[in-house]
Amino acid sequence: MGTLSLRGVRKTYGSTVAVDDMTIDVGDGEFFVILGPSGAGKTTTLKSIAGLVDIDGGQVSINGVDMTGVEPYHRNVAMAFESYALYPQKTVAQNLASPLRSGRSGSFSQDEQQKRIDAVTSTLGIHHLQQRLPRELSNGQRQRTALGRVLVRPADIYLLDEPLSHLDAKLRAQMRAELKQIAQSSSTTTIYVTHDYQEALALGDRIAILREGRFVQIGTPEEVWRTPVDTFVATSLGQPEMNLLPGAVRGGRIEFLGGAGSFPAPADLGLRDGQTVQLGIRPSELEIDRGHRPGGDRWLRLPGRVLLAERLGRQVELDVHVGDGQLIVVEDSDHAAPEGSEVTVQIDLADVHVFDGASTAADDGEARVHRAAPRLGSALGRHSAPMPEEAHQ
Amino acid sequence: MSTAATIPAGAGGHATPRRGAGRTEPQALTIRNVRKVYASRGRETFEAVKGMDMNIRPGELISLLGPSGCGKTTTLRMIAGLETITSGDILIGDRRINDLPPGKRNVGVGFESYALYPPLNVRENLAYGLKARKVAGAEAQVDDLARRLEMTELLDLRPASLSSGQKQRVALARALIRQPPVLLLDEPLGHLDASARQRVRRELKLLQREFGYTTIVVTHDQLEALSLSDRIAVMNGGIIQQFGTPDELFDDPANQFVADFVGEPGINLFPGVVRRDGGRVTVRVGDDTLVPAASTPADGRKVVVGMRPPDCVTGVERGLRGEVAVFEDLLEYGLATVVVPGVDERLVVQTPSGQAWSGGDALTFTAPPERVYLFDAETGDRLR
Amino acid sequence: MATELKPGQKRLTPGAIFADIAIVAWFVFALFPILWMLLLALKNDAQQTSTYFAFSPTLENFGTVLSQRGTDLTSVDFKSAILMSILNCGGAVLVSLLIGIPAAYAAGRYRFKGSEDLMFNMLSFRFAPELMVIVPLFVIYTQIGLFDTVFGMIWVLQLVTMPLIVWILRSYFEDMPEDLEQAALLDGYTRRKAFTMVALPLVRPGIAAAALLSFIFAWNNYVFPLILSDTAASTVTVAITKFLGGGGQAYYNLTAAAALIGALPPLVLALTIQRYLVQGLSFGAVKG
Repeated sequence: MGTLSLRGVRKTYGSTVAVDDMTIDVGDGEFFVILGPSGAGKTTTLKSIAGLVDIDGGQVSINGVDMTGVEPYHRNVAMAFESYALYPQKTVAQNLASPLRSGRSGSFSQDEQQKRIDAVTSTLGIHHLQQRLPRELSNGQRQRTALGRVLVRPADIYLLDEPLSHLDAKLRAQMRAELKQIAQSSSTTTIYVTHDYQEALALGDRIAILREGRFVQIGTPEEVWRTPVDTFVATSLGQPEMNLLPGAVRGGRIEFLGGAGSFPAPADLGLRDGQTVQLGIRPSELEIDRGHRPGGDRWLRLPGRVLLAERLGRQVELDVHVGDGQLIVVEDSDHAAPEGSEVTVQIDLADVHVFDGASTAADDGEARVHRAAPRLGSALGRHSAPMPEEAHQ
Repeated sequence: MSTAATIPAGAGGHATPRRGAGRTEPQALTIRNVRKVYASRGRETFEAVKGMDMNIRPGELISLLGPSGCGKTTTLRMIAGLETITSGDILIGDRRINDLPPGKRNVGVGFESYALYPPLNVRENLAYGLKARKVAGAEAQVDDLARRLEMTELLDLRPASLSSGQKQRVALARALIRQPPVLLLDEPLGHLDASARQRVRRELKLLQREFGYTTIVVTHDQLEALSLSDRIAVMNGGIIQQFGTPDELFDDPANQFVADFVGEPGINLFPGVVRRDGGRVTVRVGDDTLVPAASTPADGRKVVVGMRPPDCVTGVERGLRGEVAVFEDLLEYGLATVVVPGVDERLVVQTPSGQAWSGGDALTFTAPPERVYLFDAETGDRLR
Repeated sequence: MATELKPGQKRLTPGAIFADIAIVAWFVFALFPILWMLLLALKNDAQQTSTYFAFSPTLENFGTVLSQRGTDLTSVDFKSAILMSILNCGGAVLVSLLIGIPAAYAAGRYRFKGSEDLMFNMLSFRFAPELMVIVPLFVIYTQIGLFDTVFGMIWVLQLVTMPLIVWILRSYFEDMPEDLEQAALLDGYTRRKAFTMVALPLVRPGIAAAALLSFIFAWNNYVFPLILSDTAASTVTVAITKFLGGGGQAYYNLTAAAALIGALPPLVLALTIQRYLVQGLSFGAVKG
């Protein structure tokens, strides 16, 4: 049970700013996910909360008590490290007993310790491994043990650092579901750090998107998915990434793809003639026109030719050449068009995001990261971007 | 999308190799009953590759897909000449290459471990081979390739300062720039992050189409193999389990191993018993019944049923009835982990976007008959 | 290479043959002095300078070195010299470990102002030739009464053992994932407890290696005991050379025998803790 609040937390390493102006409030029992690419400052954030790094500015409070500068062992938080950090000379059971024996998270008799360890190892499916040493475990089992060492103890806050990152795809999906089940039955506030957007969507009550040490957006999975505040957030969520197409306002219409596509500029976005924009379209929300949608203004239709068709499992990723550019379209394999075929792709205009400034015809990923353009609204102009409440204060 | 600027002029969707001066024609690659046995004194002999046959057409892109230790890398190394061949033949075109040293086989090798010249920067490393053969416009070729592989910013760096992902791209570029008739790539996208991997993968495929290298890629990533390849050989235990197009592998797996290895989220596999009523075959799972497309299995036969999460259909009257244990909303779709009475395994069901389920909900689901796969409980062979 | 190779078969090329010959030649060159020592130690006084390989071997020299006759010849009791060496070097290593392990941990874990300079200064003790400092040391030692005492020898041998131990262990601590101690902190243990509970057991192989290496360096040291001790605290290295005689007859056979005896303790020590030396640092602690 615990609340966490960060106020303007800042941490630098030499001249590198790892974390800056970080402000969040996490409620009691909340599962809060921090999503960001490697090097964004995710681990530094966790370690600042845990007290494992000395922050250079700001304040960390747990349960309303200022914990800035307090030693880690007085903070009553538990953390699972990305590297697992299991004590190599101790068995699984001894590893799990370690936080119970220190006396800081409460005092437990031998029986109580064993009861707790048995309960946690059963939940995690490692009950039969209690007497093994870490080096005798598979990566998946080590990961579960590291998680067990967190879950076994009462704590105000659980901190989980990329706990699934070293597992193969299938085990990861399975563990994600298990984690979700555990989280639902636990009432402990959890901060979960990941670079995997699916983990964030599946697990988070709220998601904070971290970029270069700052939160860009904080919101529910639905919010960050439907109304990303900028192109960085938009491309952080979803695989394949959201299509970003440069466009411009001409005569009250937004034109893009070399004129191959256009639609009326939504009035509530306040766009002026000649202004450049970027359009964000999720590959999964595009579809091949098979005449199954009603006509009308709501649907944006674009003629093109399929350059590549790549199977992704049940789905097919189509690389469609439209006008002077390309669109990535994800379709069910049953409906996919073959390579070389002429198709019309379509999308509900409500699903087209309009971002500012198409001047950054970003050629590579790095450049785009540095120049995230803010979202203006959707092509139907219905929901405009809410200002993030906690970020950018 | 960022690839907008990188469409090659005139690049079509078809494999129509552009062949300029000095370029070698793509060649067929034939592997005939190739075996590789490791033996050393005092140790048990280990047969890494057990009698492998493959006919790879000129310009085709093939993946060798399998878990570690399945023999895929050994196969690649035998083709490259880095590993001796115990028996069998490898032919490029009509020419047997078993006994040629690696340098004379005329294959391009994109291995991460393949050394770069440390004193030269990346640009010089890439241009080196071209300049040695006095190819005109070497610099321009390097720049063009670097742009397409998203590594322009790496050109002036020295090999020592590259990260593993960057080294991988450089190794890939170095293999590609020679435009060899046969190209061998070992986990070419392994260290890249998800978004770069997707874009580099697409460029690799377009380049391969454009220049028509006969290409063999080794990978353990089923998604990479599916999306990149014309055909895929799934290997396990030194044996090819299935050699076919991505569609064949995914929709029509030859055995349980292939069905399990390909596809993510992973296929649900659970036991069932065949019931035959005249010509009609059904499968009993717990208290429920599934209808497969298979027609041959005998009554009472014990089988393993395979059902992919995305093939599951919910909101049906009849099928498997279970209770939702966990539901994950991924917004584009949902994943329900379901407990079905009488089935030990927890089954994963993909649900359409917009549906919300919670723990304890009753869920009935099934799959179209052609997507209910049956495998022999003993051998894992597909029953049709 | 047209022929297929059978398992276990190797290619014999002129280059490979040449390399083999070169390796054998190098080994002969490197091992010959040791062989010569062994032979010399087995010769009697009469044959020590007059024969090469043909002689009547005897073990008498080893006895002589350790007996009263040896003491009479050199005016040093070789047995007590060995004891002194063990006392001096063991003491020096022990003191260096007590101070050096925490020092190495601090140097490996924490960066503070001047920490690099401090470490370099420490290492520079190893670079400096001992003869450079020996004269002032001699003066100081005689003045304050440390000359020819065990305490004085332990004190001065720190110059040899401490830098080695700190430098070797620092890299061990640096290589050890910090996450382990941090996990202990979050489990509720103090920094001191995290160090003793987590870090220390993991660097045991490193401590063994550093201790052994510095013990050998101290054991082999010649200049310090030669100048800073006389009879009471003198060590094996000095005692050995006494058999070469100062003015009297040089007993090469006895010198060889003494050298062999003197080499035994470090050798025995090395063999006993060999297991630790080859052990890796951390096993299964982190991913991989």
